[in-house]
Amino acid sequence: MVPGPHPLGQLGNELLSRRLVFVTGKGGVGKSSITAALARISSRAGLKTLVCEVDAKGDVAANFGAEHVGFKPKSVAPNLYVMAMDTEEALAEYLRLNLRLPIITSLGPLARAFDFVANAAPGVKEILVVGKLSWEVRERNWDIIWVDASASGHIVSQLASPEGISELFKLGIVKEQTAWMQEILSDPRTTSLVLVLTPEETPVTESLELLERLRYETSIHVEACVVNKVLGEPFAAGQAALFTEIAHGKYREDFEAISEGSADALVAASELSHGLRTLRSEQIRGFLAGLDEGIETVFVPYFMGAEEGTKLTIEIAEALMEEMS
Amino acid sequence: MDDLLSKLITENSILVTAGAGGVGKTTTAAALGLVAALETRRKVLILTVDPARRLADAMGLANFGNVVTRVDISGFAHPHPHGALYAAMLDTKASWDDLVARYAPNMRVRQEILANPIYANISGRFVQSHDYIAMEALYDIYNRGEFDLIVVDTPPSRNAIDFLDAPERMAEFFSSKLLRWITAPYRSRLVSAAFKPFYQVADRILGSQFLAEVAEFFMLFQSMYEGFIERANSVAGVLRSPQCSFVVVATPEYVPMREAEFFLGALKERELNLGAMIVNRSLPDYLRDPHARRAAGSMVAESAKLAERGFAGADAKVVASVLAEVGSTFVDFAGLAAEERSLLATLSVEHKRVLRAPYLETDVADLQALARIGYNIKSADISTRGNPRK
Repeated sequence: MVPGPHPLGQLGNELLSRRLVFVTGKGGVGKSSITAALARISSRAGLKTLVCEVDAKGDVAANFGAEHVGFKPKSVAPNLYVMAMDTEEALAEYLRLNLRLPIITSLGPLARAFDFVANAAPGVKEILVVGKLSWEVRERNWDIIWVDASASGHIVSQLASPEGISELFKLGIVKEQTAWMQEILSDPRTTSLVLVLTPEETPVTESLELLERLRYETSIHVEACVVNKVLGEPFAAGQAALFTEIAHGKYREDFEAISEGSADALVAASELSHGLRTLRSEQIRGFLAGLDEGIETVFVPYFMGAEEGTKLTIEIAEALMEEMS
Repeated sequence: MDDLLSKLITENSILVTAGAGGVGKTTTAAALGLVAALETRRKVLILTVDPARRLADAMGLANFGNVVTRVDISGFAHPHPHGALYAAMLDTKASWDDLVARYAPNMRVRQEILANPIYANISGRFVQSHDYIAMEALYDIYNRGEFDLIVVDTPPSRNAIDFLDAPERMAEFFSSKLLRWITAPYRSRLVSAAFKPFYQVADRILGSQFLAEVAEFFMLFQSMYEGFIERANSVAGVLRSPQCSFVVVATPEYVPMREAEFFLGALKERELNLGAMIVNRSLPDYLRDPHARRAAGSMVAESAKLAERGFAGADAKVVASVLAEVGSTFVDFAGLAAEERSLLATLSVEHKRVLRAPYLETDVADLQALARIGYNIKSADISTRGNPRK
C-alpha cells in the first residue's frame, strides 16, 4: 500500500506497510510526540493515516497544532486524522453497526449500566478499545492507524484482552468477536508495536520488563524501540582533554579572559551536560545489551526546551526519517 | 533546611505526593520521609505503591503482603538520626482481601467473594481499584496510630486526580440504583419490564454466565454495603483533615506541569490542603545568568577569533570547536532553564508554596543519595523579573 518510492529504509518501509501500530512507553518519555511524528511521516508518504489516542487526555492533537479531539476522527492535515478513544461511544457504535438495536437511540440508562459493568470487569473496556481498532483495520477505513497507547503496564492487558476474555465470557457476542480480533493483532504483517523510552534508568528497566511481558503474554510483533531525548556524544577525545585544561588546567586563565567573568557558569554547564550525556550513553548501552535480537532501535535527539506542537513534531519526524533511511 | 520543608515534615501526620508519571513521585515521597526521620523525633512510614527496583532495594522493601519493614538509618552520622524510619509497599490484592475479611457479614460470604471471578479481576487488575485501595490502606495504618508521619505516594493513574475521588466513587458505586438493576433478576424471578431491554442487550453482548457472575458479585458486595460506605466516607474525611497535606510533584516540562496545574485546581476545588508543590529536576540558577548567556553567545559566534587569544601550544581549530561547544551547551541549557522559569510563572499556586529539587545525574541507589535529594529541596524564586545573581 505504500505508494511510490520514498527515502525510507527497510525499517521505515516495513513500519509503514502495517495497518495498526501501537506506540507505547512509560509516562514522560514523549510517546505522544513520537506517535505524532510517525503519523506525519505516513501521511506525507500518501497514506490515509489515523492517530488514535487511548487513555485519552485528548491532547495528542496539540502535536499537530489542533484543538482537543473526540471520538469522531478529525482532519488535522492532508491525509491525517486524529481521534480519542471513548469506550462508551465505541460500544454504542458497535451496537449500532452490528446489532441494529432500536434501544441504542436512547443509550442513557444502558450507558450508565455499562459503565458499571465495564468498571467491574476490566476486560470489557480493554476489548472495546482493541475491538474498535481491529474493526477499523478490518473495514479498511485507513491505510495505517497509529495508536498512542496506554502507558506501559496497561498495554499488556489491552493486547491480551481477546485471549484473556474467554476466562470470563463463556458465551455471547463478546466471546464470538474475539477470534477475528486475535487474528488481526497477532499477524505481524498487519499489526506491530513500537516502544518508546528515554535513556534514563527507570524507563530503561521498565522497557526491558515490558518487552519480556509482551513476549510471554501477548502475540504482538514488537517492531522497533525508539530511544527518545538522546543527548549528543560527549566531546571527542582531543576535545575532552582540551576542555579539562580549560575548565581546571593550564588554559583556565586564557578562558577566564574571554568569558567576561562567567567562566564558572560556562564550565559548570558543560560539566552538567557532560555528566548527563555520559550517564545517558551508559543507559543506552545497558538497554541495547538487554534487548533481544531482531528488535530494531532508532534514536531521536533531545530537542531542548521545545514545546509540544507542530514544530517539534516536524523536527522529530525529520530525525526519525533520517534514522530509518 | 528550608522552612517550608521543615513545616511539611513536622506539622503533618500524612503527606500525599501526587503528579504525572515519571516525575519522581515515589522518590520524592521517600526523600521527604527520610529527612523527617533524620531531622525530627518522629516515627515515619513511607507507604509506596510501585517503587523502582533500586529504590525498593535501598529501603530494603519486601515485595509482598503489606509488610512494614524497618529501614536501617543508623549509618547516618551527620545528622545523627533522631527519629525512626519504616517502609511498606502496598499490595493491592492483599489490601482488598483484608477489606473483604473486615466487612463480610460471615465466613460464607467472605469465601464466596474471594472465589468470585469478578472479584479476582477487580482486586488484581482493575486499575482504578488501586486508587481506592491506596487511600484505604493509608487510612487503616493512620487509624492504628503507630506512626507520627505517613508519607504516601499515589498510584500512576491515568489521571492524577482519580484517587482523590475514589472513596466517594466507591460509595456511589454501592448505593446506586443501577446496582439493583443488575442484580434484580437474580434476586427475584419477577423481572420488571423496565429491566428487559437492558438484559436483552447485556445478555447478547456479555453472555449470561458473565452477567450472573457480575450479579453475584454485586449481591455479595452489597452485604458489606454499610460498613463499606462508612469506611469510604471516613477515608475521605482523613484526606480532608488539617493533618493531611498534599505535595504536588512535577518536572519542569510542558506536560507534567500541565498535569500539576490540573491537580492544583482539583485540590482547591475539593478544599484539600496543598502542602507544597515540588519541582523535580530543576536546573541550577547559574543558567539564568544573563551575563553568562551573553558570554556564551559570543563564544559561539566568534569561537575562531577567541581561540587565538592565548591557548598557547593548542591547535586553534580544536580550541575553537571546544569554545563553540561550551558556548552552545550553555545556550541550550539556558534555554531549558528559561523554559522552566516561564512554566513555573504560569502556575496558579502561591509562589511561597513552591519548592525545587535539583537535577540529579543518577537514579537513587542508596539512602545517602535519597538524603541528598531531601536536603536539597529548597524554596524556589520564581519571580520572572530580576537577576538571580543580584
